[in-house]
Amino acid sequence: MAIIEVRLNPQLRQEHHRVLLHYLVDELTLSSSDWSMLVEAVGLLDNSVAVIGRQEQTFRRFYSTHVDQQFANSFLTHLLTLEDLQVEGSRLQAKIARKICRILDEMEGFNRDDNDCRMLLVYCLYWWAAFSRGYLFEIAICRDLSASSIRFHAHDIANRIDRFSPYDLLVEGFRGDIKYTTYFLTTARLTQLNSDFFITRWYHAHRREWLRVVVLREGMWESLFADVAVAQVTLEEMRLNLPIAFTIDNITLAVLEYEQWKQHILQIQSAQGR
Amino acid sequence: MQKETISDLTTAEFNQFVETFIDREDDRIEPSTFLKAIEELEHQHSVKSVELTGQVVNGIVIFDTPAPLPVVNNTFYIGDTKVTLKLQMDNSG
Repeated sequence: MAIIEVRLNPQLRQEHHRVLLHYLVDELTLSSSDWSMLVEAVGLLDNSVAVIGRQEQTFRRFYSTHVDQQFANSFLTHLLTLEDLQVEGSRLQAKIARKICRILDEMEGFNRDDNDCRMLLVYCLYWWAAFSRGYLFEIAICRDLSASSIRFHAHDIANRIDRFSPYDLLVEGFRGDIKYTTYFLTTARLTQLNSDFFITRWYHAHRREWLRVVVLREGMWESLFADVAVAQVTLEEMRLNLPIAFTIDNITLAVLEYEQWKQHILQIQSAQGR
Repeated sequence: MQKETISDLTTAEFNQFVETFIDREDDRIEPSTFLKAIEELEHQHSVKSVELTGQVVNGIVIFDTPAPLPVVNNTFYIGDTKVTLKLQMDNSG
């Protein structure tokens, strides 16, 4: 199979190229504007074109054919069997990322000296990372919820149709999504998300630590967490001393530490069981 | 960093950054940065238009993935609405 030509979307500007480089090299250097610019850049790459033989494929189609259809299902099935998800899962994710590199490197016409070819590789690695890290996180959370004896119903990620359900799990009748941060930015708009809560994780740069958090919409917060005291903050005052509540575009969200959220849900479920 | 774009990297530098990226853990993003980015994206996309692309194979619409909406064959989701396509082939022409 030969790549005859790679044509980048002409709407990609210098700014897009700059944030793609900074994302690849060190994502900590990206500002909030850079992150939204990155989302835009990846969106523009979606419609860039690789000419394979006589056929033109958008980058999105290329990824779908050469990566998603080749690796996604088997990767998830394998992940579900792993005992040490973090170590073995990350290793598997990296192994497949290198396979993706090899697939491209072995294509006639692909050349890492060429910037347009580099962008195709970066695009594939970006989406593979978003996909694989997202599901690693989701499986880790579901295992932890089970180990904590929380009653919940999760979709079956080994089943492709079930995997695309509009929400990931149900807890006490509320719909939840488990979202790794960048995937959240890339795929979601708050106004289009109908889930009642989101389990995600935030990075604390000073302490170099990750903090698992649960972001609640008003409905779930008022129904189950009304007795929990939260501090109202603005986005400028954002802090990691939780719980807090803030507003984005008239949508009020409360954030609790994941462990506190679990304890609260456990108490509710224990009370129901008595 | 002096380099402005990925094209400014030498091949050896590019290969090194690709290797580091592959082994990188999750993207480190501070909550304030994350939430401000979400706010910016919300403002930019008050009316959002998306494009679903794909192929029709034996009468089945197979969407390309990743797609901007959750998709499976013949079906996509907008929020909690499941949209199933039931299209008839026009054999007249």
